[in-house]
Amino acid sequence: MSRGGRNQIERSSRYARFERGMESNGIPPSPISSGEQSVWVDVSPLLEAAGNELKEGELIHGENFSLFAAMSALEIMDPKMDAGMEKFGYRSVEEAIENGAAPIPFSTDKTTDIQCIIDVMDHLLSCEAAWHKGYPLAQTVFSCIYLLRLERTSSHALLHSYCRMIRTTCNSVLSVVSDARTHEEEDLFIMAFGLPLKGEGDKKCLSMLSAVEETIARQLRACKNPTKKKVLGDMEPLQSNPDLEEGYCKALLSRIRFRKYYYHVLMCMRKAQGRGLELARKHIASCLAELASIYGSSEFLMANAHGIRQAVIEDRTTASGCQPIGFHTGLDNVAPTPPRAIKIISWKKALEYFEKLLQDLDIICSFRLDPLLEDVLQFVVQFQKSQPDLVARAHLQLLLVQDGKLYGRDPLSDVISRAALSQVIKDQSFQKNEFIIQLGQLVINLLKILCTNAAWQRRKLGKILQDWGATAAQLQLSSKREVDNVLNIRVEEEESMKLSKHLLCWTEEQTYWIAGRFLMLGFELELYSPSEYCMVYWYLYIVMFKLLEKAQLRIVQTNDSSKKKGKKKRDPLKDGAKEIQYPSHILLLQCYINLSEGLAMMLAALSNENSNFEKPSIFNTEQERFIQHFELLQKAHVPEGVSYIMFKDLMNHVNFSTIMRYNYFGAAQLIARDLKGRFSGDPEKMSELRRVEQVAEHNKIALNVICQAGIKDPSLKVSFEFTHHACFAIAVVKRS
Amino acid sequence: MSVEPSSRLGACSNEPATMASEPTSSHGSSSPWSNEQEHGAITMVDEPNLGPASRVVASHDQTLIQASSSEVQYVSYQGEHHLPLVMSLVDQELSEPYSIFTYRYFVYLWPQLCFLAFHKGTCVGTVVCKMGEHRNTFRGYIAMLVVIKPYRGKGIATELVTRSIQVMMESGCEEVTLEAEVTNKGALALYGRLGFIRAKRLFRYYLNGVDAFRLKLLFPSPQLNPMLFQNKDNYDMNMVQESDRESRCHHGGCCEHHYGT
Repeated sequence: MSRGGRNQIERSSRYARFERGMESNGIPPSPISSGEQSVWVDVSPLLEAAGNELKEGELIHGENFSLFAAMSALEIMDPKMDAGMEKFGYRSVEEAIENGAAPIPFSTDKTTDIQCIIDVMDHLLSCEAAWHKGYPLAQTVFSCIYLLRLERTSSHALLHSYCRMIRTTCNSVLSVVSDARTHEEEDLFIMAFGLPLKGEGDKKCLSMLSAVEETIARQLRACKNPTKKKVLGDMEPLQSNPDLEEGYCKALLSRIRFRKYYYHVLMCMRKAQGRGLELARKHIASCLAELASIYGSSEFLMANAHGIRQAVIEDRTTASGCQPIGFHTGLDNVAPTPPRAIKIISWKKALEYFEKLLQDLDIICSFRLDPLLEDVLQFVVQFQKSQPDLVARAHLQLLLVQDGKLYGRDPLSDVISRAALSQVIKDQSFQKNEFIIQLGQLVINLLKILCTNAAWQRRKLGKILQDWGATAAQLQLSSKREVDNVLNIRVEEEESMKLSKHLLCWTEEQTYWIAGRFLMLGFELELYSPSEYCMVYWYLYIVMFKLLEKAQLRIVQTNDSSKKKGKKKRDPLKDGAKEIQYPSHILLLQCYINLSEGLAMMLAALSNENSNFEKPSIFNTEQERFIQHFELLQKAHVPEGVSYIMFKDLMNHVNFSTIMRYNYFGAAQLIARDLKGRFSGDPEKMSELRRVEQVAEHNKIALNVICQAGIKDPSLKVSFEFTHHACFAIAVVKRS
Repeated sequence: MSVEPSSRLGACSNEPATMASEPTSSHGSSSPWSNEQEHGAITMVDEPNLGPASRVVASHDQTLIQASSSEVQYVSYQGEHHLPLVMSLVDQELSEPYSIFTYRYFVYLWPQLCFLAFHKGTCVGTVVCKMGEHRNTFRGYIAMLVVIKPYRGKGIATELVTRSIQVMMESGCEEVTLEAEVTNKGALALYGRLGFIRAKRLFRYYLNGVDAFRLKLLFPSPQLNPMLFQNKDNYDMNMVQESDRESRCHHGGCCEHHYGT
């Protein structure tokens, strides 16, 4: 501690002696227990004496004076660091309750009581959305005192059943995310820190809530049909103002029903082997309908609100705009870290969040559990384009991988044999083959990674390239035939070598697919700057070229095998001298190759012929940036022999006349046109084709403009924008 | 104690396991202290300096000070008397609070990496860094960079950072790293011009939900690639070998040359 900081120490130590929020009046404070075995002790004299001993600039620090420790320190009562300074004013939940912070009922006036409980429901929705978005459970959903002490609410049926349902659904969502373990960077999500997430009787939450729902539904019928009231019996109204009865009944019913259907969605989706998906979709539809009703209740609730208004109406966390009763901040927090000051997401944004979540869950539920791995991978990649949040992704992952099987149903040996050999081999020796087991693990890991957020996913995809490469290397050894031993090879060994050869081809294909995803995700994550586009497209071109090569080889191998066995193949195959008709995804890949190559060449030509296009950096060169961007690919030798030297060698002499001669973008357009017929029944694929066509067309035009104007024209400005496709840029040519 | 360090400072350290640069279960998403207005390590927007440094760049919210580059003085951290200046600048410009321990951690252990910019006696900018071993790599880390608003757009931030990186290079660092918000276009442009790449994207790194980029600058290895320090027209493939990062070293000659370009 330096002399410079001594004033700070004096302030801090003085404050440490007082209870929060109380002014100093010279009266010794009552001792505050900090646990069973410890109490607070005033160490101001000791600190003062220590400070006096230090000279200016001197610092005492222990071995554990790390950055970690320094950053974790907080200055007590600094409002930026100390969330307790939010002025909640109580030291514990019990004290808050004793002082009326969470009354039950909210009011003796029934209308006020209903208004308050609706505010609690709305604020809880906002809290729940905030939790899903990455804020701690303790500071969001469990900032609700009613939830922290659920047993207190048992006299208030509506509040009690609603809170129990919240607790049950939060627990269900938390366990899904925890089981899926897709939350690496989002690790705050599963931190429950001893919060009361489960309790006796939670299994009855649905029947409790349904009972309350039935009562309110009858109250609604009664108020809408006053003449029938005598027939229905003397139904006590929900609240005291007859003019508002219908509005409040409807507002409550939509909220209760939303919770109920949401619970059903979660329960259905957890059923093994995707058995509950179809029913889940029905509940999702009901949930979305109730969400719309909740949103619609906003005008009524705002017009009749009479509680304390929230400061900024646009950011309100309740439909009425009123402050909810019964929530705390930073109180009795059992987290190991001091609580952060957070802002609960607005009610409107919470509704939008849940709407998107339900839509994403609906997409998952609509998946037909295709046994073909290729289709699964495509589905996941497509799903991720809508940027689903953690909860949806965790549900997807648990659907895909259960008990070490695809969908909990298909053993990985079947999945791999179907993918690599186009047939299912049920032979036990095949299932126990060490390569099949290894590949099975790689596939499971790949599926899990593909369900993580894009940033995390890309890093992991880069890392697993080495694992796939290692397996490929082992398969390579296994598939080689020792020339000397040709005559001595047993039939079994020969079969084994053939199998290894097929598996090798498929493994290499998957490896290049992963590498392609790694590179393309870099565009989606905006990891490349314009001066790096050339090298990235060049590398992408090479990787996709190798992927195409392997995919074509696998098709040929599979067709050759089936010819020998006399089996019919799924893909159209023509006999004799006619060419193999490749599947549509191969042709689409060819489009991507043409676009990548065209873009790499165009960027290289611009760099070579227009000195203004790139500006050098001070501290390093293009080579260092190449090394960094492709480090993981290079480590895994994907592909072998690629280097910065090769890149420069090839790109240094590219000019515009070369590019015009090869017409890369024209070639992409031709293929895209042919594919339209094949993709006509698939709206997503048609959209992708349109995007590819637009990229090709724009770049073709840009090339023509550049060639006609002359690249050395100093008034010509060329930039690259991702207006039509997330990964393939279009050149925009302007005159300054 | 699984306390999350600040997102802006926690990624690179010479400390043991808890401070791995890869997010771990103890890393957390951002600083414990940030609020919705957090802007990351760099708040200033340093526009590309396309003209003379003395030109006043119009601002929509503040009048900028006319200050030619020759009037701004750059000083290395000298001692205790500079600490309040650094703290005051950072506290003023950034909403995320740092405890005094954090400042001391940096300036006490790496004073040679901390620079201050003065104009007519007023401290207008500062940079705070560290360096050390990290997973077998000697790495520099830029922790804080601030230039007060009226002085932005003049290349002061670039100058501050360049000086720190120069010292890191001369001290044997193999690379330099930092985090910046994905929305901080000024910072990204500044570091991009210096040769940093966006090595990773860190999902919801800041508490306000904004992602971050981990920016990294890899220094060339002059021993293996001497010809790389010529301009690209002289790039001779035959003399260049595959770079091997394991055997990197730096020495002043090529770095001075490099810095001077």
